[in-house]
Amino acid sequence: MAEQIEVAVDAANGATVATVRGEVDLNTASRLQSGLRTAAVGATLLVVDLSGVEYLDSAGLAVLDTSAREMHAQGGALRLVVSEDSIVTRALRISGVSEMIPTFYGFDEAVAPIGSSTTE
Amino acid sequence: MRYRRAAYPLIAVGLAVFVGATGGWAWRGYHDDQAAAGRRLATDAAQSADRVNAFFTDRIAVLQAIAAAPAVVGLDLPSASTFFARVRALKATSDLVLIDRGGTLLLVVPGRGGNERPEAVQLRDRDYFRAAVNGRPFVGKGIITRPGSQLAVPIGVPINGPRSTVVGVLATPFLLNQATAPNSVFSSSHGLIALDRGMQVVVADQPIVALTRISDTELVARAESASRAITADRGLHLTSPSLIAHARAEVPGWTIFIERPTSEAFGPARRTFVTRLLGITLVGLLGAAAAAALLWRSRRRRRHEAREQQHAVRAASRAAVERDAVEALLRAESVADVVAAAASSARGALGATVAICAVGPPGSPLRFAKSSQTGETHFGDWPPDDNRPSAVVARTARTLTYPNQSALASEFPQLCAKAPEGASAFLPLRVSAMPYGSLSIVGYDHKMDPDRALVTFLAVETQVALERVVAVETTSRNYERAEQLRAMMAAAMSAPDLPTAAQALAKRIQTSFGADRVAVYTHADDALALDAVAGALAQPLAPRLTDDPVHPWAKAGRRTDVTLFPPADDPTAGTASACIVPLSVADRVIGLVALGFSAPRRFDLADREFARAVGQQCGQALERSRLLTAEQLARTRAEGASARLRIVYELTAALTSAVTVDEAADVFVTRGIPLLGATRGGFFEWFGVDRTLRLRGGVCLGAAEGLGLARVSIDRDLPICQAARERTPVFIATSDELAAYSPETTSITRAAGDHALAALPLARAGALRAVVCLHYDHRQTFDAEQRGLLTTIADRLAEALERAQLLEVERAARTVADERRRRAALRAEIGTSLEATRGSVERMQRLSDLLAGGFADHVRIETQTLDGARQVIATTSPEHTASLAASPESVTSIPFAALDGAPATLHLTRISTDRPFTDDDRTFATDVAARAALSIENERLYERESSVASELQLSLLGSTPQGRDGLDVACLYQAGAAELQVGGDWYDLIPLANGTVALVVGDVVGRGLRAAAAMGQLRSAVRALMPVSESPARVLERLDAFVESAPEARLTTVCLATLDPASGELRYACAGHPPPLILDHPDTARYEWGGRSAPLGAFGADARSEDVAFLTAGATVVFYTDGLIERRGISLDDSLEHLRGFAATRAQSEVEDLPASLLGEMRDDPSPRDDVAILAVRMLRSPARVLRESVAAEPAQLAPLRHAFRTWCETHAVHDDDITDLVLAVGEAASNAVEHAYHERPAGRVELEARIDADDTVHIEVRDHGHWRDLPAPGNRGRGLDLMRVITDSLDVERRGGGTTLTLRRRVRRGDA
Repeated sequence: MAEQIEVAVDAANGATVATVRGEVDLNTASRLQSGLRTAAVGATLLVVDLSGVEYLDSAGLAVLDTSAREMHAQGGALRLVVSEDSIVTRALRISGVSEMIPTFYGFDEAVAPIGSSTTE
Repeated sequence: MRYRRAAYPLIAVGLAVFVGATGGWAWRGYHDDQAAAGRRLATDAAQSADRVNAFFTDRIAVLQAIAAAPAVVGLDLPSASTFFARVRALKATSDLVLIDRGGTLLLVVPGRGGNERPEAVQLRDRDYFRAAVNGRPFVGKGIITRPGSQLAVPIGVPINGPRSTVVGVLATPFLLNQATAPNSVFSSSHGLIALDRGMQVVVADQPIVALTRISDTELVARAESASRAITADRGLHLTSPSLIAHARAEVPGWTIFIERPTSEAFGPARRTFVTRLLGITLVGLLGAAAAAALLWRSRRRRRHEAREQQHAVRAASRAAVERDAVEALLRAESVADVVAAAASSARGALGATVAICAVGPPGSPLRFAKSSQTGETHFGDWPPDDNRPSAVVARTARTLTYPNQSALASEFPQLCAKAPEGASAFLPLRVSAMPYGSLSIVGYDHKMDPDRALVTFLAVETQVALERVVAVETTSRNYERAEQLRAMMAAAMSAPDLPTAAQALAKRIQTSFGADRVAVYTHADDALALDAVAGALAQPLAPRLTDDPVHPWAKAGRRTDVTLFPPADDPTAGTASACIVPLSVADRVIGLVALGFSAPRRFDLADREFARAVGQQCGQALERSRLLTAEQLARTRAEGASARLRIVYELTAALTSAVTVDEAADVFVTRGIPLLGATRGGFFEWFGVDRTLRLRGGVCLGAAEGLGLARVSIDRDLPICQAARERTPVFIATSDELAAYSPETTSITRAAGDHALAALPLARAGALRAVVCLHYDHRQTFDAEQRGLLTTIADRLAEALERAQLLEVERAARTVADERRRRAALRAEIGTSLEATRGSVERMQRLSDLLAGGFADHVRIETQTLDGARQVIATTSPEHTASLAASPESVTSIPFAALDGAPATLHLTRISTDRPFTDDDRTFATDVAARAALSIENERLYERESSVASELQLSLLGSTPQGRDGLDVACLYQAGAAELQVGGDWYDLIPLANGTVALVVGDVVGRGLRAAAAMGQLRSAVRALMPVSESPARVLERLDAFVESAPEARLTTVCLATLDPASGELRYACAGHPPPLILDHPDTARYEWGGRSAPLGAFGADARSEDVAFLTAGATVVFYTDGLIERRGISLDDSLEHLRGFAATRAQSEVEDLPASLLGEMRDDPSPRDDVAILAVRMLRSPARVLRESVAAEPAQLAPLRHAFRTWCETHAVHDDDITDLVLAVGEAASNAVEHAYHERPAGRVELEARIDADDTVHIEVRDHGHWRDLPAPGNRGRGLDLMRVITDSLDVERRGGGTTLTLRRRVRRGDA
């Protein structure tokens, strides 16, 4: 199907990196949610790379919000990586989610230890 | 008198001389006698020694001969039996030992009738071993096997293997007794013969009546004195105090003493000389005294003889007492025997009132035997701290003796009343130099044993017997217990986990202690948990022992020492005594072992030591097991977590590619079941219609039992049904639980060997979709981790299933739509393609090929000739029939009329059976066949016509008009078939200036060449007039003028129009012609009835009018001649309405197909009278300023909707930033509708309308027709509304009964548009 979404989980610099591709909407949000939950198992720092996401609406924002809360509850942290001027960045900024979840333009900054870099 | 006076000295001198000579002679004679006797004794000793030596040498030689035999060297036991016989012939009747050099010893006891019974025994301490070590024959020390009867002398010779290595020992004890040892060997003419070998001294009386072992101390004293006297030579020694003559002879390995008591004692030889000197010099003085001296001497000698006699009697009686005591003690085989024998012997020997022998290890109760005057012996125990003299002596190893009753009573006041008359002696007994007991003799006659020699002798003998028995008991018990402990450790160490180790220990501890039951508890979570139980239990043991209230066992278990419970304190009823052994590691107590005995059980010191050792060793073993188990558990957990994660990843990855329910089921069966460690499993899809679960993948449960669970009602008593009913997973961990679940389940699972089962419902949002079950051939724990994994997998499966089911629905819908579209295309293609094909047979062939292109694999058209024979008219080309050999196939035959009414049949064949012909297919085929028949018939009729007329017509019509920019054009001319004449219909398309085109359709009255010629003239006239005229009406007016000069063209009907593709303006005028038909978007058709006037040249046709219509993008205008609408028996109005209705359905079909499909629909007459011309022109779709989309209200449709919107925006060159925001807004609005508008299936639709105003404001409306049950909550959807508000300039929500409309507006930047 065209509206497939992919969540690939990897590890880098001690962080768990979930790379998301595709479009996140009502149809695919649950898949994103389950993908992030799977990735969050045992992770202390979960970096969600959204730079490959072509669309993300409030359903996706809700997923990110939930994941951030769950990571916090398990003593971890959630960070986002986005590409500049994308629809995802726009959605994150408008909704204010990027104020709540540390969001980075670069992947390397996101996986750096907390405090060494600033959010956007 | 003088003589007498003189005679006296003479007499005295003579007497003295006589007496002196006589005395000296007598002394020397006696001395010579003694010397001769001594020499005889020495010779005798030497001879005895030689005899003994020869005796053993002979037997060693025989043994060596046997040992050298090959069979013995090879230790071939069966063959060795013949050698046993030879050894038996040597009267070595006791046992025969073959000793492996390596220390593993084989004792072979010859049985009766030569049945040897080999036994492996440990004989390390035996003397035989020396032969193996030294490699030389060996004669061991003699052992008295039975008191007073036999002397067993071990003799061993080495068995030499290859290269002179010693491989064993052939050994046998030779029993020396009267029967086997000839008197000549051991007899001596003088008294006793003693064979000394080390500390074992054997004395044989002469002749050998019995071999008697004399007191060690006595013989050692004798041997020592003899050794001192006789150092190197063989000879005689006379010791005056004991009056015993000794002789000693040396045999290799042996010392032989021969001794003889003598009747007189003499001083040394030096004294003889002095006596003789004094006798000569003092003869006078001694003469008188001689007689008196002789008299005194004879009297003294008589007294001495009497004393000697008395002494001998006493010695004999004492020897008998000693022998009896020694025999009794030697017979004792246990400690109890020893104390009984010691007490009774001591009392009997000394005639004491009471004799008590009490023994026991230090710190333990003393076990005593008390022999009283009645002859009875009582047994009993004293506590270790008892204060009676026997106990005190036993503890302190102090010797206490009291000459009389008062002395004893003064020291032990408590015995004042009980102390008997007479002397008493309390002598300590030692074992291994440790105080071990006492021998007490109370109330005996002091005179009977003034120097306490007998008492000491008895004590020493008792001690010797005690040491022997204790050593035997201790050694055998220690050895046994060491073995048991080693076995316990081995069992515990080899156990895989703590419970198994505990169980193994419990069993072995039970056996070791002979306990009736054994329970092992270990500390776990501040309590003692029962780990293992062995033995029969009267009542169940507490699974946990807690400190509150303090359980006696728990309390005892905290101590580091063994605790014994007497029967009264036994914490569990039903045992007579109990013992709690703490299990400790270092000083830490980790648990306890509780031993229960049904009979009272004594624990002596060794038992307690053993119990303590068991506690320590087992504690370490269990601790090791516990650590091992903990480590394994931790490792298993860690491995399990990563394995579970991997399983989730793998299955999730596999499931993403599963797009159908069957694929999802397949992933579960082929990947999921092995990954989850199950042996088999099933995937059951839920059908709510009949409330059943149907197997979609995996094994059919119970198939082997014939139960056939491919389709299961939800009400059955099965785990999968329970899971389906309750929407919760069902876990059955063990076969016992499985058996208890339901009989039906048991019958299914037992035969398959299942031990555990899990049934998981696959549900999403409360909607059950399927149930999966997993069967395991071994028990499962189904702990939290495993349950979590299975639940996660079930979630993943449910997601995949939901997706697959949605996809299936969509795919099914798409398949139907595709099929319809394909059919329509095929139908249209057949229509046009047949028309484009000349020749009826060719058309049939063409029909065959087209049908074979996808609808069927093989097509054959047959017709029946007049004589009834079947004739194949057309069949598919070879490439279509290449695979026809394959069968089975699906065949359908459609009869149709063709070729002048002759019955024809269309045979269609499909090779693959998975796509058989359906009713739908047959309907389609019938339809196609009917149309094809029409076409073919037409062609046939046409063929009958003059090819000249046809060609002329076509030449007159010229080439097919080409489409112009912005227009799609299609045209069709169908000649009438009634007469062999050219028709007068025509069409034309003339490009004009300004991009407009002129469209012409006309119909000249009449047929034949005249009509054709008139048509040609008119066509030329129109082509000439249109570009130069202002409007169609003006052209008509000029044509009116033209027909004045061309009468054959009069009454021609014509429709003229100009069309501006840019604006869609259609200016038209109809001169007696049917109105143009406009197919508007969407799906509507209408006639334009304006601009009407009379046919050309008709009366009153001077005023021509025209009208304007507008074509929207995609709209089609159709011009046609009356041949299309003239149908027999049907009014023109009905026919027009029919055409309009049909055309409306073709509004969106391709323009190319339109004329043919209209003709096909309208012309039911196989041989129409009139000809037909059709011209269809469509306005191409220009970039629509308005976007209208309508999709099903399903999440999956959101993405396509957004994509369409984005494309529309891009078409209108909206700035990228604005597109980003607008797409977000549209996506949110549509999500809202999808999520909230429709609550039941099938979902309704969501409509999107977007347009751009002149001021570059984008208006977006998102509509649904459902009912919003509630306002979006402030969370998720609220965020969506907020997003939309931020993004757009205005947001309105309008709710009505029929639905909700969200209106969004935003001013956008635009590029070059």
